[in-house]
Amino acid sequence: MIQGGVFRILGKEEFQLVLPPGLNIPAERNPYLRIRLRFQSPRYMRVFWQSRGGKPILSLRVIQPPFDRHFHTYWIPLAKSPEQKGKVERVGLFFGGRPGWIEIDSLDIGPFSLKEYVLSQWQEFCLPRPLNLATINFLQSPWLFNKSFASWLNIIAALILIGAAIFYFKAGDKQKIKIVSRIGFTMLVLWVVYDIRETYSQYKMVEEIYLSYVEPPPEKKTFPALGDFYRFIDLCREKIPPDSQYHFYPYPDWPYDCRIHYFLYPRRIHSDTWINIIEGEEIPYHVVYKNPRVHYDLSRRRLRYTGPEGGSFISPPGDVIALFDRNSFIFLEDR
Amino acid sequence: MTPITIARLSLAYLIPTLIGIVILSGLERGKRRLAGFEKLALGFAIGSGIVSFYLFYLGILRIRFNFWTLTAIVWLFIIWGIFIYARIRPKKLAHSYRSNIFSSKTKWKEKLLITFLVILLIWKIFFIAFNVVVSAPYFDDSVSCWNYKAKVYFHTRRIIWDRKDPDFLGGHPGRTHYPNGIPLFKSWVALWMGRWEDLPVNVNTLIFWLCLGLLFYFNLRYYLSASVAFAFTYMLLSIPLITFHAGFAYFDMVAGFYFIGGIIYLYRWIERREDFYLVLSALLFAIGLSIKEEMLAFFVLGVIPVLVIYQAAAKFRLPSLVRNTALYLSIVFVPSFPWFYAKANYRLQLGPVPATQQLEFNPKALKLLVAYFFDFGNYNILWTLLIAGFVFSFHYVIKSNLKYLLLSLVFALAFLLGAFLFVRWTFNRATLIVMPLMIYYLALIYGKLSTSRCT
Repeated sequence: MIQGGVFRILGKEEFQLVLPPGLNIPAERNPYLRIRLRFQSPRYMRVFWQSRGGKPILSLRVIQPPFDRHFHTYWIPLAKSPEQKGKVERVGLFFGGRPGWIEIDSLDIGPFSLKEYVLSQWQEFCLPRPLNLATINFLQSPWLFNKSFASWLNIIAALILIGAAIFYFKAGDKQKIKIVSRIGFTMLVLWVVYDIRETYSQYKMVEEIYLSYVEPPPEKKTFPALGDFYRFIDLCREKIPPDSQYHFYPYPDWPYDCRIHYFLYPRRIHSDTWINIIEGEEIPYHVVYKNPRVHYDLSRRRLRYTGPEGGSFISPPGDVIALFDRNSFIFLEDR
Repeated sequence: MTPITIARLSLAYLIPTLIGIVILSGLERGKRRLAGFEKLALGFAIGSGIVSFYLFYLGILRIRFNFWTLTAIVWLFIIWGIFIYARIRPKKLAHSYRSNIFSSKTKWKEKLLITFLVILLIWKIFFIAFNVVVSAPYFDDSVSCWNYKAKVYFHTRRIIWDRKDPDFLGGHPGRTHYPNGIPLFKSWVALWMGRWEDLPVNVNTLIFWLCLGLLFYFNLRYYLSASVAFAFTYMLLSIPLITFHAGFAYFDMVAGFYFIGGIIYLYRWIERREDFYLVLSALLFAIGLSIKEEMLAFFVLGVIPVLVIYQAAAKFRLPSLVRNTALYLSIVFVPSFPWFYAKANYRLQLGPVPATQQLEFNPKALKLLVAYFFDFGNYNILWTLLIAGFVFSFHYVIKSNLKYLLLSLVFALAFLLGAFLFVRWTFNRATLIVMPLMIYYLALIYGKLSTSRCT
């Protein structure tokens, strides 16, 4: 389907997308497939093509974009070698990996253009690092010419160090001191180069938080990867007394369950994943967040759960005391 | 923030710092062994640990946290502080280094570079402070472990030892076995504030990051010129994952502070053989054990063997060897003994969660490790530098005391890699405990090989 100018397709298993037939692209013109895409799950892509009368050729390169909410551009050569003759008639994309949405922003085939290639690599390099809930373990390094920037700098550092080592172990004592000083200075410069790019990432992160969370008015505040969750917390704090207990029905459980557990304490939670209630005391509040499976049945005045296995009532009668959005609200049982 | 809130916040952090400074001054016995800022950084680290232990002991005794019990420890240290102040002259409180990063001999290129590094560091302070001020705790462990347990201690005003109570040992069902140093310090801050707020309790990572820089710089100044010491301090503080963690209430970097602090002073004891440094090292490890569970393994594998090997190699007489080792281990373990006793008594787990306790070699992990070291943006080019450092310096290091630092580093890295390869432990975060030692080692070998000595 086309949505917002983007071709979206849900890939459940491995599948192929084949471009319209009759391409007739001369192989000797060194054609490249340029594709800009984004994956919403850990998938990978390979490109295949076929000349007239020839066998399909699968590109060696496996494309696995960083899983970071950004579109990434790839250039894939469609000629096996410069000597390849004939015309490329058929081009296709092969997708594998875990199920999930694939979004293709643009795709074109044309001769290689150094200017455009460098420009697209520069754009890749400048992509901001999004703040998400996995960032605490992995800080993605920006990409440049199909490698991470950290890799490039490590390679450069390693080459310099290997070269320096050859001189170092042959040099006299005084020379050794000079060599070490120069290596130290060079390594510091490389370190600073990476740090400048890292500083840019940090700046973009600050900007992202500022624009989504600090600057907007209270009713429009969102936080990266958590959306409007903090506003929902404020609503819960306002409507649920501190000495109360509540059921929580988020969808999905993570990342909301462990967070509401903390933010609403000393209110006590009962959910599928977190429980800290005092046994024997009533749990009159029901908190529903982004969960289309739990809704308020107006005629019966009860909460109803509708899942793949059918529906059932999950609360005694009561009322919705605060409505956040269609799938997020606070329900209080009659007392 | 009102002036009263600011005053309360200042007290919450200043009191532990002063407690730490009093302890350090008491241990120094009138001799200046630490630089002023070094003492300040250590003062906060030791003082915050002491108040956490204090709250834990109150908790064991079933004493509630209130104004009187909270301030009792303050009076004790005020009296001790006055006693120390009366005995020694104030000018002896701290040793001073000539800390000017620029001297008349500094070349303009060097000045330019250092100025640029200062600007980058100022940005990092802003970045960390922005995240601390603006964001609520964001990542899983900071929310559901560190801050949640602290919030429970704050609201209950005590430690609950009843297993059936949902607030048992901080209330986190998966983290009751986890050391309580950080949560108790956060609850200390909240108790001084009079209410639970995220900003005051989360600012401690920024303070620890700054303290790490001070500790590192002033210790490197002991061996290196000011500009070289500053450059290595900058490298440490700008490791991308360290800067990031400092802004988001995670504590691997804080465990790294105690680990490097303990190693630094153990190394200085090896060089100078003054008991002060041995005691200081032990004190830092004692507090480190209350920060993160894995500190126990790092200490047992990375420090005890080095302590024993050094004394054996230096031909210490047996009584001295036994005395030093016993003194050291008793300072490290006695403060945490009640905690280990409680763990045994309540049958709380020690080490990794049962699901990961099986030893099984994970061959895919090797490929992943290479990617972590060289492709990801967590560590800049640090791993390449460390490998090069080993190659360039090995012939020199084995002939000097630096071999003990190298031993600690190798043992700590072996534990880290072993835990990742065999128990599938989270690798990236845990490396932050060892990173300061890696850079410290690199700095000292650079100093030796380039003869960039103290000026």
